[in-house]
Amino acid sequence: MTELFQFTLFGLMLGCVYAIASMGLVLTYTVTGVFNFAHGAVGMIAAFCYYGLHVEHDVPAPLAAGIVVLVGAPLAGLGAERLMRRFRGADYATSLVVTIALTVGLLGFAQKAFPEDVSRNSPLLFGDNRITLFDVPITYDRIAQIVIALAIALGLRFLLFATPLGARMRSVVDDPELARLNGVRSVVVARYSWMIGFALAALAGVLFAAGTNLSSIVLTLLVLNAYGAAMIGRLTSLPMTFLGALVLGLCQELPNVSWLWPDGDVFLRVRLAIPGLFLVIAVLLVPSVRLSAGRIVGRDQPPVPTLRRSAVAGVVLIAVMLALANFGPSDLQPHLVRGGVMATIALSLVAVTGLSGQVSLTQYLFLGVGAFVAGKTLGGDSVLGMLAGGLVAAVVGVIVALPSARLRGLHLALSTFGIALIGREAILADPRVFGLSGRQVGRPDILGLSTQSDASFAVWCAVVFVALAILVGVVRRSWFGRQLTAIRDSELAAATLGLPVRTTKVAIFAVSAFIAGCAGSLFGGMSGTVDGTQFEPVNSLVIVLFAFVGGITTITGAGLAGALFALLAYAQVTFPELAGLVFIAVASAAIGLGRQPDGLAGVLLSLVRGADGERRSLLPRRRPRAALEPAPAVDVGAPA
Amino acid sequence: MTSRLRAEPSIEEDAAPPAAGPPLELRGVGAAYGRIEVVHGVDIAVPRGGIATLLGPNGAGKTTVLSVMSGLLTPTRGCRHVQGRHLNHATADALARMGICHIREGRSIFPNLSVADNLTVAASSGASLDRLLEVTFTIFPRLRERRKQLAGTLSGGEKQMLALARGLGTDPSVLLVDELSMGLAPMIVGSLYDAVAQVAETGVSVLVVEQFATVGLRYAEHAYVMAHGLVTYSGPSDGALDAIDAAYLGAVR
Repeated sequence: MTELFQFTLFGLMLGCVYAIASMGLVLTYTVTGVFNFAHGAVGMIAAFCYYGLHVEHDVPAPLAAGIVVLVGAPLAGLGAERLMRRFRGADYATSLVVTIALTVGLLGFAQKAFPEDVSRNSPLLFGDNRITLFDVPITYDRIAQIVIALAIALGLRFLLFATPLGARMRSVVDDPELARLNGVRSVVVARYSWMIGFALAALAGVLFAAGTNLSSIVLTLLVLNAYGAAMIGRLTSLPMTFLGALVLGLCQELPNVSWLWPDGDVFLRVRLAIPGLFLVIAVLLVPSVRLSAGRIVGRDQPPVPTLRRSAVAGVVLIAVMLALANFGPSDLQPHLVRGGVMATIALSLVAVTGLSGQVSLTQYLFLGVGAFVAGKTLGGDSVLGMLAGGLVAAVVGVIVALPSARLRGLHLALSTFGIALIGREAILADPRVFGLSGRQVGRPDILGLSTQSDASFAVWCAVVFVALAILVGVVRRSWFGRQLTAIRDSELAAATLGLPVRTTKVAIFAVSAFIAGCAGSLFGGMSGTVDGTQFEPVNSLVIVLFAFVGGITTITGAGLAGALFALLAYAQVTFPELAGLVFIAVASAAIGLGRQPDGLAGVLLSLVRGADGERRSLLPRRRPRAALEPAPAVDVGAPA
Repeated sequence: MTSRLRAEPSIEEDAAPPAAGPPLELRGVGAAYGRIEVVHGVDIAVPRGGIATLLGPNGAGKTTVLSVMSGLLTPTRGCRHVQGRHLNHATADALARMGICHIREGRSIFPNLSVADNLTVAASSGASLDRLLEVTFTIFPRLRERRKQLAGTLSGGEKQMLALARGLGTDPSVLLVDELSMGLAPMIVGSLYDAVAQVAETGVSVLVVEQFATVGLRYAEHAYVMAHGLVTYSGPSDGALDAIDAAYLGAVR
């Protein structure tokens, strides 16, 4: 019984830290409408800064914590508000991508500023002091977690319901336009909510980090776990969020009770997946969101190339790759391979996000499955192995999409991220899957031609990319592709036309997963041996950014994403002092291009169009289509 | 009590001395939703210290005109003059803090906030909260009993009282009221308009928008009639009836 008591207590304490993090997230979301995906990364950076101040520069602990949580984090929150103000009125995907970019940028910053070759053991905040309660030793830190969480919950309650600022915050949530008519400065209110949100994220990060060995990714994901709790509160209710956080803490700690598992810990991996599972279940519990009629996006769709044009472009691409691989500098070759693989992964995102408008944050799971199947079944060194990997990944894609098909927008993106967390912990990171030393995935022989050398494998990657790109092009021009476009423009209109919305969404996930699975075997061929650590969910975030920067709406964009990746990787190897800057570079690019939905490809396209001068100057009447301003979403479900 | 203009140093342009002209005036203003223009160049002024009414059938552009006046929409052409100053790009919250109070059509309240919190938010325009509470509870004693209740649970008339309280108690210089009578019993409408008339006597300049012409004309000295996004009549209320007939019954414009 002592054990049960002990883990119940631990669960509640863990839940308290989750509560701190998730309440900040909810506050920012309700007031500003921006889901700050970077919440986890903010907590992570705060923990590192606290460590830097306290341990490396001998600042006393309370002062260091105060500087980080009460000064640094709110200032950063001010900056975030300034940044997000540029994207006001943008759709959820834009603000999601921008905050993902912040996440990735902060991860890059952490790796640059706090290289992980040194181990950093953050000391407990209150040292080794502890009390013993019913034979359970409890450190002062854990007591502090409970006290702080309760104080913050009460403090937020007081702020929101007993102060004029709180009333203004709630008025903005209720009716932003009426709040402005009342004279409420929405910018000021948003500023406060960002500052409080960042401070709470930082506090949670510092509390999480105390007594552990700091790792940027682990810490980020720890705070990210709190998103499940926020979903229990439906991103609006603080008390429900607090409750959700406590339940999450208990779900994580209670299975540690040893007499539950007399036969040893067979479920260890599943238990590690609990936060992901919790997130997915919490998102699925959200009642069906009322369909809205969509917006007049009002921009020119990027042109769909004909089969002939894409074939010609494909041949040109392969020829360029041949030339670069054989006549370029030899240290470029591994990066060409990398670029080819990344372009293929980006292509899988073009299929699911570009064509159907759903943001998927789980591509590396498909990649891992593809690599595993290719390596397991056919040694990986055959085209059949690649196709088998793709097909199994497609099945996984259907499994991922089935429960989420009901969801849309932000909820869908979060549920795919939850699934990525589950897949990583329960499957990919399990040593029984890839073996302790990783799994061999070879490079195939094509029609008697070996692709063992980097040069020839790079060309093979280009060939696979072109083949899959043509597949995407075919899908896009088909009846199925037009359904996808219809669903992306307005799910409501598509549903009233009798289109099978959910089936179509599941199907495009399968196509995307197939492409990612094929990319998986290329990925395996690139490194020779693969193991679970190469398929971190964070990588899925990075590839989403690359795809957005390249241009997630076009196949050209996928190619550009790959090229950009190769270029940055090459620069990083050539100039080692740039290490870690790749993340920061792509993050800044994603933020910079936030208002350009077609990414670099769109920029290029408008340059080309400008060059032939025709559509820009001679036919000005065509431009107003692009000048349409986004109209407010019309909520058909509600009576006017 | 005199009408007042709170200084707002953060916004715009020429520091013309406060004129004795209209406190709020639109000159040749056009307004559009996206690319669709719905108001095609109108001249409307809220006369100082009196009640004017803006009448017209559905879709004439009355609400759009009020939205331009209060800063919810930016004029696509023409000028918005506030106390003689040219302020085309001021935001709604800045104009609210300058004393322009716009009571929107429908129930212009925060349903998930308590009555007291609604009034707290209404004081964001810089008015004194104590005075706002005092004025509100004197004119509408029923709201005092319900001050802890969520505003969404009030009756239709009480909601409208709460919405109007912002116009009465925050001491605005200009009060814009949109469709006060909508969906309410005539008796309540009468008492609400009496309150508006009372506040106008203290020097507040009032513009009321009405679909029911007789209600509007009863209280106003000056009337504007709009149809199809244009002003078809501007003058004393007594002479507005012909223009109203034309606007409502669809005469050729």
